Amino acid sequence: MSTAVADAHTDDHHGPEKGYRRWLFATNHKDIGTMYLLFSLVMLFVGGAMAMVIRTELLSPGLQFVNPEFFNQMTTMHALIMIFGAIMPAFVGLANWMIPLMIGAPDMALPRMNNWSFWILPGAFTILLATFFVPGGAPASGWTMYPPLVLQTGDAFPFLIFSIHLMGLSSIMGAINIIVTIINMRAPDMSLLKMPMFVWSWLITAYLLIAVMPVLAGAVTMLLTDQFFGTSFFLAAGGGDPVMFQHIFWFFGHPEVYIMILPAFGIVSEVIPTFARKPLFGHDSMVYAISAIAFLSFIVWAHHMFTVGMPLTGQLFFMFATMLIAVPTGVKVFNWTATMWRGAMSFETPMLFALAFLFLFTIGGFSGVMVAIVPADIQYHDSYFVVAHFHYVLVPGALFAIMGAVYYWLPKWTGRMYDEKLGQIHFWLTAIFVNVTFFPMHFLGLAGMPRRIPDYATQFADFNFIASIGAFGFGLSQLIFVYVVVSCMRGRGRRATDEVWDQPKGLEWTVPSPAPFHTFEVPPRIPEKAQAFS
Amino acid sequence: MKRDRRSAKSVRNAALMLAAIALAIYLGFIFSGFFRS
Repeated sequence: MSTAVADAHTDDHHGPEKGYRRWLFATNHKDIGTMYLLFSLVMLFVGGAMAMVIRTELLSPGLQFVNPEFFNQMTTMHALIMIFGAIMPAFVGLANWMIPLMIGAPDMALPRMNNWSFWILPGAFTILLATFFVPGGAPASGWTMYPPLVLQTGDAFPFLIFSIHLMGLSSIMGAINIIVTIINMRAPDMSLLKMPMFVWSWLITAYLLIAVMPVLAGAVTMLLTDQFFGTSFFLAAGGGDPVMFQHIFWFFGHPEVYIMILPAFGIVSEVIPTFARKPLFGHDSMVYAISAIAFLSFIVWAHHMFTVGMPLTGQLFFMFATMLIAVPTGVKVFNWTATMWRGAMSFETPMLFALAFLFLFTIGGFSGVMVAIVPADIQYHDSYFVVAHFHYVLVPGALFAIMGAVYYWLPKWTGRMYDEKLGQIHFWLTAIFVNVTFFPMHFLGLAGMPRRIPDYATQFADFNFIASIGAFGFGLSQLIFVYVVVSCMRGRGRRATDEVWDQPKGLEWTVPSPAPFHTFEVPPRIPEKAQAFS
Repeated sequence: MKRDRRSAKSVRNAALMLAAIALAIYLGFIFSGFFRS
C-alpha cells in the first residue's frame, strides 16, 4: 500500500464538517463536485436570463425592449457565462463526482488544489457580472474579444481580462487534477484501456485544456498590455496585426469547442450501453476516435475566419482538415447506433436525453460540415446559420448530455430516485422547444440575417417570432429540472438501490446509494462484471 | 524498484510537470509576440 493511500487512512472515520466549513474548506471530491454542479446550474439560469432578454428584443422587428449597447452586452455576457460558467463547470463537477468513483480512487489526487479550483470561479464570475455596474457597462464586443473593437470597452475591460485569467487558472488546475488522478490513482487492476469511456473522454479533454487555456490567457494578456502598457501586439498603427489575435484566439477557441463536447461523448457512451443492455460497441475505436478529434482540433482553427482574407492554400488546408473531423465523429455515431442494435432497450429519462443528443448533435455536426466549405462559408459567415449551428452543438449536444448525466447519476448522488414522470415531461418539453428555438435560425441565416443585431428587416419577422416563443418555452421548462433535482437533494422520492439501473457496468454502481462520504479507501479489486466494456 | 504511481511523490511530480507545460505555453505565446513585433 502506498504512502498516499496509507495517509488517507488516518482520518477516514470522520464524516463531513458541520456548517459552512464543510463547503468553504471542502477537499472531498463529492462535495466539490456538488458545488461545481450547483454553481453551473445557477450560471445556466443567469446566462439563460440574458438569452431571454435577447429573444424578447428579437420577438419582433424594431427596437422596443433594450437599447443596442445593452443588447450587445447581453450577447457577449450570455456566451461567456454559458461557456465558462455553465457548460465547463458542469463537466468538471461531473468529473469530480464520477472519476474517482469510476476508477476506484479514494479522492482526487490533489484535493486542496481542487478546493482552490472551485472557489476561484464564484470570484471570477462576480467580477465579470459586476461590470454591468461600471461606467460603459459590461463587455459588448462579443465573447471572441476581437481587437480593435474590444479595446473600446469601458471600465469593464480590465475586469474582463482579470476574470478570464481566473477562469483559465481554475480550468488549468482542474485539468491537472483530473489528469494526475486518472494516470496515478487508478485501482491497480484498471489498465488504461479498461477505463470507462467517460474517464477516457475527460483524460483527453484535460490535456486539451492544459494545451489551450494558457493560449487564451496569453492572448488576453497581450490585449491588456496593448490597452495599458503601450505595446502593439494587435494594433495596426503600432506595427501590430489585429488578425493575429483572431488566429491566437481560435487556436484556443476551436479546441475549446471540443472541450465542451468530448465529455458529452463520454457521458453518452456510458448511458446508451446501460439502457440498451449491451456493451459499448467498439470501445477501443471510441478511444482512438476521441484522440483523433482532439488532434484535429488543433489544426482547423482558421475555419472560423475564412472571410479575413487568407491564401487559397490556407483556405483549402483548413477546409479539408475540418471535414476530416467528420470521420472520427462518424465512427462514434456509428458505434452508438451499433450499441443499440438488437439491444433490450428501455427509455428512461437519461436514455431519452442520450438519444436526443445522438439525433440533434448530428444535425449540428452536419451544419458544421456545411460551414466548413469555404465558398459556402463566405455566405454563411456571421449569419444566423452559424448561430443555429453552434447552438445545436452546444444545447442539444453538450447541455443535453449534462442533463442526461444528472438524471443518470442523481440517484447515486442523493440516494433517491427522481420522479420519472416529471423527468420525461422535462425531456419532451426541452427537446421540442430546443428545435422550435434553433431550427428556424437556419432559415434566417440562409436568408441573410446577420448575427449580433438587435433589429432586423421585416422579412425575418416570422421565424424570429417562432424562435423567441421556443426560447421562452425552453427557459420555463428548465424549472421542472430544478424541481426534480431539488426534490432528490431534499430526500424526497423512493430510495435508490445501489445498482440504480438494470445491471449497469462500472465501479460507481458497486458503492451504496447515496455514495458515502469516503469511498474506495482501499483500492478495489475489480470484479469482471464491473469492468468497462472492453 | 518500480515507483508506486499512487505515491505522494509520483502525484506531485506529475502535477508539477503539467503546470510547467501550461506556464511554458502561456509565456511562449506572449514572448513569441514580442519577438515578432
